[in-house]
Amino acid sequence: MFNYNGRRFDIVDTLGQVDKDKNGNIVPHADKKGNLVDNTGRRINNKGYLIDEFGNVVDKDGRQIFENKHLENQEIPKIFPFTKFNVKNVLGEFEMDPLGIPILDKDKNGNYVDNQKRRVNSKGYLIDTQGNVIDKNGKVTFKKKLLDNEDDIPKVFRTGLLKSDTASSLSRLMSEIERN
Amino acid sequence: MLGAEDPKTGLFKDSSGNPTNQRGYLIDPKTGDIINNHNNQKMFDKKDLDERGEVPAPFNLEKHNFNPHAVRGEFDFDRNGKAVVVKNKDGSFSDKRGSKVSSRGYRLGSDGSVVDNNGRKKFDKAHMT
Repeated sequence: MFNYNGRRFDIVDTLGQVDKDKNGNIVPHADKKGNLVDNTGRRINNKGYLIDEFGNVVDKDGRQIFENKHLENQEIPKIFPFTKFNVKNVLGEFEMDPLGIPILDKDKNGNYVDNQKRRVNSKGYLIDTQGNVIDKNGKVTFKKKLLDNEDDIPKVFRTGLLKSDTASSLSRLMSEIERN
Repeated sequence: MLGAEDPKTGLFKDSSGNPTNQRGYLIDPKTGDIINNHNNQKMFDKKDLDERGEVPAPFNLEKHNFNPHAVRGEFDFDRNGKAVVVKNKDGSFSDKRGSKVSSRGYRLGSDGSVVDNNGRKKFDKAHMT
């Protein structure tokens, strides 16, 4: 599994040691300050992930895996090597300069737009009025809070680590067979 | 797969007649919240959905949403913090309650797929490494 930086990690290393009830739900404890802790006294969130004092999810060695602000209802994103993502679905249409910087026009309000006059950010990603990255169908794909300070989407989605979803069914099948 | 719209009411239903939104997600007909298809518990508040009825990011991007505790057996842990997975005589593995698990402690269904506490398949066997 990958984190947003494209670093591989074992999800088991992010789990607290907790008891479970008869339905299999975790039963965390609370320390004197009211923080949830696992059976060994390490802090966990309400989904059972090891966290640091800021709520960032960490592994058993204390290394940060996901920032608190990137969690949804305290749950981490699950990004696998077989997760399919095609960056073209969230990019506008534009030319690049020799340095690879998008050449973008601006509308009358000063917002970046692509060749089809759709709103994009400075990196050329299609965005909505809130700055969230959307796909060609207008569906929010990356909330603005996931973008870095240069308006780029998380590294794992732009470095070729994931499978593109443009392959034909046959080539996808062949890829699966080769992998197995 | 999208829900089928009833032309009389404008409401959407799945093939079993359960109410869905326009994207095919099962909903609580009273609130419009998206619910779990196994235990009917709320998964997403209606206000968190977009105008197309799609679930919020990142859940609309990555389709393998689960809590790892729900797909793992129950174990004691050794002094290194590693789950003690019991190996049976036949070579299979169990947790401390006797549930079938993989060598790494994930709950397994009868076909070798990873299942959650409710026995629902979360990962196909083909995705296991």
